[in-house]
Formats: sequence, structure tokens, C-alpha cells
Amino acid sequence: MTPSYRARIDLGVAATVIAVGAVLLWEAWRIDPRSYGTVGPRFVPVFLSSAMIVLGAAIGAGALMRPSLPADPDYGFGDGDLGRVAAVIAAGAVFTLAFWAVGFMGAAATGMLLTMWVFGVRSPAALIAVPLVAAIVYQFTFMGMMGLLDPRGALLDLRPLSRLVTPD
Amino acid sequence: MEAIGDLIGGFGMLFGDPEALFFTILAAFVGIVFGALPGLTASAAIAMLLPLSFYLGPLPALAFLYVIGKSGRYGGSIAAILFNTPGTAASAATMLDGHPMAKRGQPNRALRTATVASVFGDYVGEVILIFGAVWIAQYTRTFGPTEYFAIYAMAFVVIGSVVGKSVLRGILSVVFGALVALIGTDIITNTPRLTFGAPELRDGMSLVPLLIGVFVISEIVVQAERMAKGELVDAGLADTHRDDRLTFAEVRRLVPLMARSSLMGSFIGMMPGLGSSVACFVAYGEEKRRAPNGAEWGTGTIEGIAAPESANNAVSGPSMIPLLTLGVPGSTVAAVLIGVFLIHGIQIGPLLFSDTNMIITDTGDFFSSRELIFALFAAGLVGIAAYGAMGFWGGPLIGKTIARVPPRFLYPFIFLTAVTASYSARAQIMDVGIALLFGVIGYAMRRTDFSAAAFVIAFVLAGRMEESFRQALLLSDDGALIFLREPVAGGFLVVAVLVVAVRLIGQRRQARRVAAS
Repeated sequence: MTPSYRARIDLGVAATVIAVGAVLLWEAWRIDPRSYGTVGPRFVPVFLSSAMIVLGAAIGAGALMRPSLPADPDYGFGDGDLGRVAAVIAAGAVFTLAFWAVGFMGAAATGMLLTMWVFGVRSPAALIAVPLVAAIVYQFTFMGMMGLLDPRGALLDLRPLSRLVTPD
Repeated sequence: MEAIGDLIGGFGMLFGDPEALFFTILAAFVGIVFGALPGLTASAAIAMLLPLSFYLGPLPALAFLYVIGKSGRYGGSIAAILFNTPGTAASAATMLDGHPMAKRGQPNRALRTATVASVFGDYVGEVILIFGAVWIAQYTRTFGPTEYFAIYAMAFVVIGSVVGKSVLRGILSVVFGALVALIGTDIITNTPRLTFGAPELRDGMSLVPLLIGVFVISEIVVQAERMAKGELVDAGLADTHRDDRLTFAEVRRLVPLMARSSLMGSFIGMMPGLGSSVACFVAYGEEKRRAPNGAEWGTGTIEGIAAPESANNAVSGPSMIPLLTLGVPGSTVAAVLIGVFLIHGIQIGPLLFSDTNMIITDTGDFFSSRELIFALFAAGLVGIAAYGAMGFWGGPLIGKTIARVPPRFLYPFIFLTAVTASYSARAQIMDVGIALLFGVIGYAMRRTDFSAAAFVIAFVLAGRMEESFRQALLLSDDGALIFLREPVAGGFLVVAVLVVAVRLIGQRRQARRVAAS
């Protein structure tokens, strides 16, 4: 019998949970167990990661025992748009990378531009003007008013530009 | 009576601190706007604004986030009524009658009914919080690590088993949240744990990027999917307005219904894990059953708006009772408030109501934690009045303004604010990556029936639970038997087992019914 969509997703969930639990259990087992008390620093992480594996196995067993269980319409990734999900996360990843490489203001402009593109903005004027204005506003608010650390870019130091907005 | 005197003192402290008063009023507005944005919740607003509270004193910071939690719940009704999209899960039942009423040309009447009912429910809940918390705290003051471990264990199990559709997945969400919380350094032995050899992880995970990932970034991802599918918000409202007023006679007629719904909401709010989304449907169902015009419900009746709105806002105050008396957050908003208390060096739990537990601020001011808590209660009462006034006269304008902002510009701004806020908590670029990672995890959790709320509450509580567990065992001569020998601790653990058993039986019966049909 071919398992239903729900059962297949459940098996995927079970495999993921067991895998994550196993990695955490392996890492928890490497904790130095020495302690002054009855229970050391290793006990709770080992207990919880073992529980994770057992509960993951229970989800898997449930899927195998009821392979024809129908799914709720909003369960699983069937109606999802994983390309769009990846695009949003990729925009965030580029923001993070740009933050490291060129500092906050450059990253803010880049992140805004990419996210607007992901959300369907195609007007060239908007794609140029809005990220620039956003970068200035965010630089002023977070680095200027809130006084956050504005690190120099590891590859390119754009702080001479950002200092026009938030002088030292 | 002592509580009334303290509350008057709380008002004095609030009105004597212009910064606290300003942030209370600001929170009322910010919460309405965030709640009214389709998809975004009060938790998302709090996650993004939490770093701002680091720069404030204890009272402005707590009042700001606490009132956002209240007004955000109310703001959800604007999106539910005008856009047929619940701004928050708590407003899902409001949509059933609110949107049909708005569609037939009475949006202002619907919004004003929601405002009056929300304010009514919130005040009932707040009064129960003030007197209930003071009363319970006098009994919980004597609790030690054994009782606390049992309470935390019960909270984990109860929240995990009641908060979502599946008991297994709810408990797994709790276990995963607790494991993430243990990443870092063991506070007793200074041993690194679950760091995979990365020195950057020795300080542990910060709450802010985790919250932003789970509540904000995952929501932005969902909105991006919706936009791609062309699922745009369509108000579909009538151009002409007829009888678009809520009369005083109608409000008077609603009072008994609002009182009953508020009490239902307050009772549900006291249970950790059961939130506004449960309360609104319970009240809607019960009041529809009682109503002589029950058949008309769902076509746009003011009763169908008032019942869920009173109930979901009545949850707000009582959900703080477990936090203030036991240190157990009953909701995600309460879980975040734990972070604010700790940032300002205030230990949560029953000692908060002590007159001798003094707090000294950065500016050298000092006051007792009891004074602070009553000032927070006062801020809650002022915040309700503020969002009530803003909503009553400005709700339609706020809704229409939000409808005019194109989502393709709105969500990129929210995204940029979210990733910047995740950096701002510790000024570490790594935290932006962590927020993105938890954005993906949060999205996957939504899609597979895991509970983000249970995950966050476990993350906040896990360290304290482990600490109590180890302290209790140090005190014990019988090892783990101490948890069963102490009657209070044993009682809490029995409750935990019973709740899981009842939920599992209910779930099995429901599965059988589904299979049979």
C-alpha cells in the first residue's frame, strides 16, 4: 500500500527529528560529566536528546501504523512555494554576508533591494531609491540613535560613507 | 485592600515617570498597528522591539512590551473585520461575524463593537490578575527547588500537550526548545555544552534572534508565498455605509454576554499554554449556543463579535498569573517578559510581591519589586484605556491606512527591521544567521504541526528547570524520590501525568471518529 501524503511527511519529520536528536546526543555525550553534585552537566542534555529520538521514533511508528491517514489541507509542504522560501532566506543570507564584508549600511541597502525583488517589486526607480533611503534611515536609527556597534566591513570599509549619516 | 493601596501607589509611580507613561501610550499604538497587519502578531512585534527595551529603565521596558501584548490582541480584530484575515490567531472567531458586518456597510459598527468588547474583557482580566496574583503569591513564597522543578516539569508537559494539535509534537517542541536553551556553558561547573567546539556558542543562544526567527522571519516567508500565489488581502467592503453606528443601548445589551465571555477567557488564560485562540472559540461557541438568535450568528451580529473579543482580551491579564507567582510563563508574551525582568536583574516568581526585594536602576533610583509590579499593573490599565480610545475613534482609519500600504513594500521593511533587531541584541553578526536559521525552523514547524509557542516557552524555562532539578537533588537524601515525597511537588507531577493522559485519550477518540467518518 502506498503511504498517503501525510504519512510520507510524517516519516520525513520522524527521520529529521531522529537525526537531529542523534547529533545532539552524540554532542551531549562528549560533555565532561565531572560535577560536585549528584547530577552533572551531561545528564539533562543526554536525557533530552534521547527523548527527542524516542519521540521522533514514535512519530515514525504512527506513520507506519496508519499509512492511509488523510492530511489537513494546510499540513506539509504540498501547497508551499519552497523556491520563494529559499529566496527570502537567501536575501537574509546575502544581508549577513554583506554585513560582514562591507558593514551595516551597505548590507541594509543590499538586503532591502533583494527582499523587494523577492516580493515582486520590479520598478527600477523603486529598486534604487527605496533601498538607499532605507539604508540611511536604518543606519541613523540603529547605529545613530540606538548607538549600536557599527563594525567595519572585513573586505571593504564603507564607514566613511556611513559617517555622513552617523558621525562619530 | 492592601492591593488597592499598592495599585494607587503604582499609578503614582507610573505618572511620576514620563518615560514610562510615554512608552505605555506608544505601545498601545504600536500593538494596534502590528496586530492589524495581516499575519503579524503581538509576539512578532515584541520580538522585534525587545532590543529597544534594553535601553530603557525596568518600568518603561516592561510596560512597553506588556501593553503591546494587549493592544496587539485587539489590533488583530481590525484585520479580521476589514480584511477577512485574522491579524492574530486570537481574532479568528471575530472574523466570522465581523467581516460580514463590514461587507454589508457597517465596518465602523463592527470595529467599535470589537473595541468595546476588547476593553471590557481586558479590564476584567486585569482585575483578576491584580487580585489573583497577590493572593496566590502568598502561598507560593515558601516553595523551594523541589517544588519549582515539579512546577516547571508540569508546565513543560501541560504546555506541550495542550498547545497544539498533537501531544507528541507539542512535547517534542518543548524538548527541542529546552535542548537549544542548554547550548552554552553550564552555570554550575562552567563546562561547555552542545557547542560543537565553536567558541562563539559558549555564551549560549540569545532569545532575541530566536524569537525573531520563529515569529517574524517565518511569517515573512509565509507572506512571500502568499504574494507569489496572488493571495492578496481583499477587503471587499461595501461603498455605502448604512446604520454604521454602535448605540449605547446595544452596548448595554452586550454587557452580560461580555461579562460571561470575559470570565471564560480569564479562566482559560490562567492555564499555561491555553491562549487567546482557544478562548475566542470557546466563548463564541458557548454564547452562540445560549443566544436566542443563534441561527443569525455568522451573518454579522454584534454578539458574534463581542463574545470572542471579550474572551481573547480577557486572557491577557490572567496569563501573567503563572509568571508572576511561579515564574512560569503562560504565553509567549509572558515568556519574553521573563527576558526583560532578567535583563534588569529582577528575579521573577512570588518574591516579586515582596516589599524588601529592592531594585536599583542605572540612574540610581531604587524601589521595591512590589512597587514595580503594581506600577506595571497600572500601566496595563492605562494601556487598555489608551488602545480603547485609539481604536474607538481611530480603528477604521488605521485599518484603511494599512490597506493602502502595498505588501510588496511593507514586508521588505519588516524583514530588514527583523534582521537588524536580531543583530542589535548582542551586536553579533552571527545572531542574524541564527535568526535566519530559526526562521526556516519556524516555517517547518508551522507546516508540520509543531508549536512555536511551546518551543519558545521551553527555551526560556529550561535553564531554571535544570537548576532546580540539580539543587533539589543536592538537598535530597533519597535521590529523585524527593519529588514524590514532597506533597506539593508530587501533586504537580500527578497533574502533569493526568493532563497528558486526558489529552492522549481525547486525541485517540478524535482519530477514531475521523477514521469512522
